[in-house]
Amino acid sequence: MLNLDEYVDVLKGCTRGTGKTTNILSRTIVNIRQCKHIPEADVAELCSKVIEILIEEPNIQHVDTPVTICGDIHGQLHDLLTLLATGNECPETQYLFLGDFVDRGFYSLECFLLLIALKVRYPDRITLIRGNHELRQITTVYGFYDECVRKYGSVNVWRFCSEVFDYLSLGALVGGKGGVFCIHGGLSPDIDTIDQIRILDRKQEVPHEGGMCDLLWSDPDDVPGWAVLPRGAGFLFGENEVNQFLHTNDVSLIARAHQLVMEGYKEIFGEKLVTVWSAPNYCYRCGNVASVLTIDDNLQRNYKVFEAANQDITELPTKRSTNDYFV
Amino acid sequence: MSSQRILREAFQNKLPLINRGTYLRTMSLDWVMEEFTKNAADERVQIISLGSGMDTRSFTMLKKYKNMTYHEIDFPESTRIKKLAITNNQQLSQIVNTKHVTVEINSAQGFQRVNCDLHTSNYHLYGRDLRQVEEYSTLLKDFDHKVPTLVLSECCLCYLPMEDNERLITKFREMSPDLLGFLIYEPMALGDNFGKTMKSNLQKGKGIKLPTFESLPDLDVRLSFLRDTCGFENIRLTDLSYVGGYSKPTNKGGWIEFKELYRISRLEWIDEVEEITLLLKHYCLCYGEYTNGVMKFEESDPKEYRWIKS
Repeated sequence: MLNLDEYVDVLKGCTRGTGKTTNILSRTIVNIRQCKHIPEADVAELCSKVIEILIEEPNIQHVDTPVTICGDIHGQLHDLLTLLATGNECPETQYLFLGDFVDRGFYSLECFLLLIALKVRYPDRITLIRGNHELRQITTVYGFYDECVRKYGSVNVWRFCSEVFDYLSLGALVGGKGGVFCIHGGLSPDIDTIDQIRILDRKQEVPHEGGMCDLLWSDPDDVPGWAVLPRGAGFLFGENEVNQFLHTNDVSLIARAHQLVMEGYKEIFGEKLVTVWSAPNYCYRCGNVASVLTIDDNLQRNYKVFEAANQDITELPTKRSTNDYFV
Repeated sequence: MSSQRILREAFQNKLPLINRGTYLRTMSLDWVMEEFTKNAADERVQIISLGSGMDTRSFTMLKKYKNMTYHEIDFPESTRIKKLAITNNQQLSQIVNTKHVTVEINSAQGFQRVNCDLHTSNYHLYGRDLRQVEEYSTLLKDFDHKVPTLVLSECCLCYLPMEDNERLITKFREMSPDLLGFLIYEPMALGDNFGKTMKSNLQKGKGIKLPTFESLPDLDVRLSFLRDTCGFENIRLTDLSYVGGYSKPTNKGGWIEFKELYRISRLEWIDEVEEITLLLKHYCLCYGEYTNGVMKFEESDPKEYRWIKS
């Protein structure tokens, strides 16, 4: 089977790096925003380009302030566009996305392509880290796989994107010492220090258990230590674990996503942990608002709340089970 | 659930959240039905399923409980399909003690000619409009008021206006004044944004209107409706989030043993705990009865950890 680079070469009938990329990129970004079909060859090239960038990034990305941190997107393209309008477009604003770009919504592919296109275009102005939905096993259940097959008639596009998932960073550190530790899910009983994350071999499908899995799956809760999580993977971790981690690693805040928050964001444990949620009216059903968090040069937090772009389910492309209730 | 939906959904992968919800609904309704069956003083017990609910429940129950008679009331269009499904299938016809006969339907007229009722020694299927309560006494001719009876409404009464809810419940009370239990599973609005969105999605997306959804929006209102308006006793109410162990203060597995919870959690990963909690909080399970004590909750469940209100 051809690898991604060879596949692009075959599709293009040429070798890569011919300088056409910027053109394709600008066109692609415009087309994605209008929800137009992106040719398979362009998707392949985009994936290949973004991997070249991601492969150089460490497991924990260092991000300077000011930066706007965003939570789960879940294929809600119109809401992602609202988000970019709310926080100001990239590259004027520097963005950090905490994962879960795909699944659940109807435009997972467009959301992911837009974000990686921005990444290729402005690599220093946008950081993407991995969520628990950037996993082959999860996307086959929660919609992204079906969406790719529906839109392209084959699994190729899903395969390209899944390969990109394996190269995404696991977390980020905003503002250096005393700054903000950013991760999709939360802490792990196997991980005490950020240095332990730095030495993980991340370029693989996320395992079912262990540190790398927990970082993407865990949730904070009022528990005395570590507890089993009802999701099936990861752990529940309490305030003590958060305080311990902040102290050991000299950071002042954990910013994470992963859990629906009806108000868009929620600070807990004496404001030492915040959940940021960026998918308004999640799954076209939950009736919640969304938010983004800007960290300024003084590490001050500023939240911007925004609402869903499209509340009317009759305008959605399919009546798939996303809207199912027990009736 | 309509036959059309069952057919469509049979060929479509369902989200883990929907599978988990179906599991909790099935498991909790089964528990109450089985306790009712076990606790019935008389050897025989009667189930009346309004609108048939989960269509296959009658078969699993009848297979398990030989002392049970099952009545199902649904629209004639639905009961005809169900009747044909039963008589055309050897296992199903055996469970309900009827003959296995292969009937082929080739036209709409042929379908309309099928008698919409099926009556056997342990199973009665009535093709009726539920709202015709005045005619129950004559229509439900196989109903035995001397046998403990559990009326099951699995997402059925929620489709009727409040007056019909009251009329229907009162009618059953007349028919069996001292041996009747009612078990209701249905959605409720809770007056929050999820409920508002759900109402609008169901209305616009599926054309469904659910009068009790907002008229009986939460467990408090439901408790007073069942107690004060309907006159039920021995009332128990809970929501499905509590059943599944997603709500505090239980948060320890709800109605499910920890080992079993661990097993099912690993079968399919739930990606979003808040969402499933939110969805399940909007479904209630309510029990009430006439003549206190048909259901012996204390004996069957001494800790009474299953219910939020009683």
